[in-house]
Amino acid sequence: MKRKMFILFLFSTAFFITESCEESFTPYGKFATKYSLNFIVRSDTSLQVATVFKSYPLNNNSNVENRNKSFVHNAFIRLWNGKDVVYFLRDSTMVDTSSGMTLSYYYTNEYKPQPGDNLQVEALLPDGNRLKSSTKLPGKITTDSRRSSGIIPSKNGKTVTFAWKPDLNTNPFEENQVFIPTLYLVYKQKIGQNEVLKKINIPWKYQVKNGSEVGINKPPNVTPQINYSMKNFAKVLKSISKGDKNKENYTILSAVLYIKVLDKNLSEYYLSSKRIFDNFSIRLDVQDFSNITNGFGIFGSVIEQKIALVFDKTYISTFGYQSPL
Amino acid sequence: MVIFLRILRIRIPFLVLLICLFIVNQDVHSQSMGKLRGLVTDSSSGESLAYANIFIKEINSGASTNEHGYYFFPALKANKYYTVTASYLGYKSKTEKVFIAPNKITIAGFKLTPVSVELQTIEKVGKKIVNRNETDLGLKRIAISSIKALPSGVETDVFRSLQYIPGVNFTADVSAKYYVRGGDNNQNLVLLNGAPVYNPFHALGLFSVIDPDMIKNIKFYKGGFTAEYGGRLSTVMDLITVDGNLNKYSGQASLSLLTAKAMVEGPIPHGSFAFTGRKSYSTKILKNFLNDKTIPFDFYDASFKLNYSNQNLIPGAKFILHYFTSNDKLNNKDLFKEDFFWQNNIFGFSWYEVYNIPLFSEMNISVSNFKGKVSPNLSNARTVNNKLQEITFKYKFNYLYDNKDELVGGLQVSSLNTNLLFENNNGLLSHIDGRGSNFVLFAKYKLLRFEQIGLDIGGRYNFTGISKNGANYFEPRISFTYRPFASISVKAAWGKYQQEVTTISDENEVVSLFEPYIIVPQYLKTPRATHYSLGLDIYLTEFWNVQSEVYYKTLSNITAINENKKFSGDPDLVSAKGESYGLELSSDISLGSFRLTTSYTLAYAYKTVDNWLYYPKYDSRHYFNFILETNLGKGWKASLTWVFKTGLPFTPTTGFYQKLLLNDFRGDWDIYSNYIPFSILGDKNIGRLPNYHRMDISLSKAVKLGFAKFFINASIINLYNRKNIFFFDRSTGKQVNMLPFLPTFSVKVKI
Repeated sequence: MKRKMFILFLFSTAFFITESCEESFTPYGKFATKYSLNFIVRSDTSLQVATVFKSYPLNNNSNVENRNKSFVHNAFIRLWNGKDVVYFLRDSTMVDTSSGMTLSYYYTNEYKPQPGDNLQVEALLPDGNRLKSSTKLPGKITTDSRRSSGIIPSKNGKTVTFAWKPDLNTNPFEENQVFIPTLYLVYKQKIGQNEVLKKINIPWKYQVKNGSEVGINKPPNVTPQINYSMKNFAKVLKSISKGDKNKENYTILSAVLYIKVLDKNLSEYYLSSKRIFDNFSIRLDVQDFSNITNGFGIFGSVIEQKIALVFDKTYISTFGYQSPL
Repeated sequence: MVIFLRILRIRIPFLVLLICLFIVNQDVHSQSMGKLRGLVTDSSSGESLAYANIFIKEINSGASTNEHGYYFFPALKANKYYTVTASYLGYKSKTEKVFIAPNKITIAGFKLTPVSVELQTIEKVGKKIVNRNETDLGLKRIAISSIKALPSGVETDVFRSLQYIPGVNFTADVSAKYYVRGGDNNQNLVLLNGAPVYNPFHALGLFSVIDPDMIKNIKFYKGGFTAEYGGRLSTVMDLITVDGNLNKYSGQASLSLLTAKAMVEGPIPHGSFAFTGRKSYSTKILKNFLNDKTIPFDFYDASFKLNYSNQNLIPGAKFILHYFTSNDKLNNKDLFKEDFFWQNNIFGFSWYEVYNIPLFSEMNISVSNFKGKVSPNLSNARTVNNKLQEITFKYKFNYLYDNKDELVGGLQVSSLNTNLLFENNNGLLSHIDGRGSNFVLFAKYKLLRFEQIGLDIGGRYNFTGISKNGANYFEPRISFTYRPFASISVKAAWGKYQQEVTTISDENEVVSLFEPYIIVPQYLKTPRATHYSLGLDIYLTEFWNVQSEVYYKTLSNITAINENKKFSGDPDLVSAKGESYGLELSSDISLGSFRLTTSYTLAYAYKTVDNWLYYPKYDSRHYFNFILETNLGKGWKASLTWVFKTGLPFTPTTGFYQKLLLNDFRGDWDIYSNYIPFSILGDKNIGRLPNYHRMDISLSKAVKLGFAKFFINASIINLYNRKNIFFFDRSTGKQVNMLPFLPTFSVKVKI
C-alpha cells in the first residue's frame, strides 16, 4: 500500500510539473546600433586596408550575410602618418575568386609604413558618427648577441637560440608585445648551370598527427627569444637533398628568422582574442579589447624583420654540402 | 604586552563581560554531588557517535555527545540511581540505571545497536529537552546516512547534499561548488579532521573529493559560526572521518558508473584503522554533464586513519594519525591541447584527551598541500601553476562547570605559503608569491545554566596576520538562544569574520577546473564580513519541526579579478564589496516510515566592483526544496527530491558586431573576410534565466547473502527531463542545458 501511494504521488507530481511549465525565454536585451573599425597597417606592402561595420540585433549564423549586410559604405576615412601626410581610404568591393564572395573594404595603396611611425585614423560615418584611434608602429629590432647562439651548431650542441632586442634608436619593447617568429633555411641549389636561391621552413617542433610527423612553428608569444633543437636543423638539412646523390650542388647560406612584431594595441587585441581559457572551462562573458574611440574594433600595425645565424663549415660538410664561409 | 594593552583598550566591554561570567562561575562542590561521563559508540564497529542524545529521566534533562562521542553531566546528586537513555539517528535507544558516586566522575558508556532495516529516524526520547538552550543558529548537523538516502547523480556527494539546506545555492548541475547567503565559493572553509582542504573537487568541480564512505560526522555552519572557527567569511564545513572498526576486520567495495571504491577497516592493538580509496574507471557518463563533450579525466582519492588509545599509557587519551590525498589528471596527449593536473595532500595528527576533571582538550597538527597546474602546450589555454602549503597547529580545551556552563579556549597557529604563476585575460603573466603566519587566540563562554537561555559569547584575536593587513584584528562572536516555551526557541547570532586567502577566480566562468589560491595581496585590505541572523525553532508536534531564519550579511574588501589589467604593474585583484539578506524557512516531518522535508528561501545578494552594483551569478531570488524519504519495508527504501529555483542572473546580449579574427599572422591572413559575429553585452547580470526545477528519485535495496550484504541503488536524475538552461553560447546562440533525464546505478557489497 505504501509503495503504491509513493508511486502514485511520484507520477502525479511529475505530470503536474511537466504539464504546467512552458515558458519562453530570450537571451537578448535592447538593441542599439554601434560601429566597429578594423585597420591593421602592414609593413610588407603599401596596400593598407580597413573595414567599417555596424552592429546588428540578431546573429543569423551566416557569416557572409552578416558581413555584407552590416558593412558601412560611404565612410570618409583618413590616415595620418605623423609626418603631416594624410592618406584617404577609398570605398571598394571585390569578388573573392576562390569563394565567389563579394568583399567590401576601404583601401589606400600609397602608404608604405616605416618602423616607429606614429599613426592616427579617423572614420566619419554617413550618419555623422566618428570613430577615431591612434597607434605607433613597432621599432626596428636587432640580434641580441649576448643571448643568441653565435653560430650553428651552438656550443652546447643541442639547441640554437635566436634572441632579439630593440635597435639602439628604438624604444624598449612594449610590455606584452607579441612576436611571431618563423625560421627558414636559406640555401642555393645548383640546377644545371644555374644556382637557384631557395628557402625552407625549419619547424620549431614536430608533432605526430595521424601517424605522420608534422612540423609546427611557435605560436605568437611575448618572448623575444626562441630555441630550436639541433635535431630539427639536421632533419631539414637532410630533407633538402633527399634522393639527390649530388650533395655538393647545395650551398647552405644561413638560417634566417623572420619575426613579425605586433604593436602594443594589436598585441593586446590578439591576446584578448584568445577567447577561451581552455577547452573545458566555460565562460559566460568574453572579454573584448578595442582601441577605437566610440566603437569596437582595432587599429594596429605589424612589421616583419629578420635576423640570421650562419652555419659552421665543418657541420655543413657532414651533410656533404658546401658552405660560403 | 603592548598588544594585550591594545586589546584591553579596544575591546574592554567584551572582555569585561567574559571575565564577569568566568568569575561568577566558581564551581560549588558539594559532598553529595557527583559527575557522570561516558562514551557513546556503535556496538558493531565501536565507532564513537557524535551528537547522540543522552537524557536523564529523574532530572528531566539531557545533553549531546561531542564530536568524539563523549557526554558529560557535571553536577548530579550523588548516592542515587538515575535512568539514563542514549539515542541516536538509525540506532536503537538504550536505557540503563546508573549509580552516581559522590565526589567523583562516574563513567557510563553506551553501545548502541544499529537499526538496519527500520526507518532511520531519530527516536524522540528527550530530543526537545536536549536541544533546549543549544546555541546552534546557522548550524546544520548532517547525518551521513541521510546523504546516502538521497538520489545520487552518478556519485553520492557530500557537497551536493547541501543544496537541500535553505540558504545554500548551486549555480549548475555540473558543479558541486556552493554559495551560501550571498557569499562566494572561496569564502567556504572545508575542514577534514581539522585540516583545511583547498579546491576539494574532482573532474571540473562535478563532485567533491570527499568520499561519503569515509565520513563519520558533518557539521555545516551556514553563518554565524562561533569563536573556534575562523579564516573564512561565509561558511564552515567540518568533516570527521571514520575511526575504523574496533571489533573486527571488515571491508566494502562499490561500483558506480564512474568510479570503483573500496574500504577496509579493523582493529589494531589499542585502536583501529580505516582505509578508503576511490578511482575513476570510465568517464563516459560525464558526457551528460559536459554538453556531450568527452573529457579524458582520471582521478583518485584515498584516506587513511589510525586511532590509538592505550588507557594504561595515558588514561583518557586518544591519538589519531590521518592522511588524505586526491589527484586529478586530464592528459589530452596532444601537443595542441592543454593538460591539467591538481592534487591535494593532507597529513594530520590529533591528540584528544578526557581528564579526571570536567575538561576535554584537543590538539591538532596538520599539513595541507595543494598543487594545481594548467600546461597549455600549444593550445589557447592559459598557463596556471599554483602551489599552496598550510601548516596548522590548533589547541582547544573545553571546561564544563557544575552549573552546565562551559569555557572553551585555545590557540591556533597557521603558516601559509602560496605560489602562483598565471596568465591573465590579456595574456600577461603574473607571478604572485605569498608567505605569512597567523597566531590566533580564541575563547568563548557558553552560558547554559538557565534552562530557557543559552548564550555563546566569545571571539578570536588575530595577533599576526597571514596577509599584511590581517594582524591585530578582533573577531567578536555571539550566539544566543531563548526558549520561552518548551516547543519554541528564539535564536540570534552576530559575528565578525576575516579571511586572508582568496582565489584568482573569474566570476564569468561557470565551470573551471580549479581556482588558484593566494594570500590576499598587500595592496588590498583584508576581506571582512559581518553576519546578523535571527531564528525561530518550533516543534509544532513531536514529529513536526519548523525553523525559520532571517539573515543580513555585509562583505567588505572582498577580492575580484581586475578585468582592466593591461600591464604587469597593474594589480591582479581589486577590492569589492557585497551585501546579502534573506529569509529561510524549513519544515521537517517524521511520521511512521515517511520523512518529509521542505524548505523555502528568499534571498537577495548584491556585489559592487569598480563602483558598479550588480547581482552576483549565484543570486537566485526564491528557492524551494522538497524531499520525501520512505522505507518501503523488506530492505527497500525510496526517496524523491524536487528543487525549484527562480532564474539566476545573466548578462543579456544587446547585439552583435563583426569582430576581426586574427590567426597566427603566418601564411594567408586578411582583413577582408576573417570575421565572426561577436556579442555586444548589456549591463552585467541584469537579465534572469528561466526558473530551474528538477525532480530526482531513488530506489535502493539491501540484501543479505551469506556473510555479505549488498546495497543496490538506482536513481533517476531529472525525472521529467526538464530543460534547465545552463548557459547560452554567445558565439553560436545555442542554448546549453543542464543534466537531461539520466538513470544511474550503483552497487555496494559489505563484508
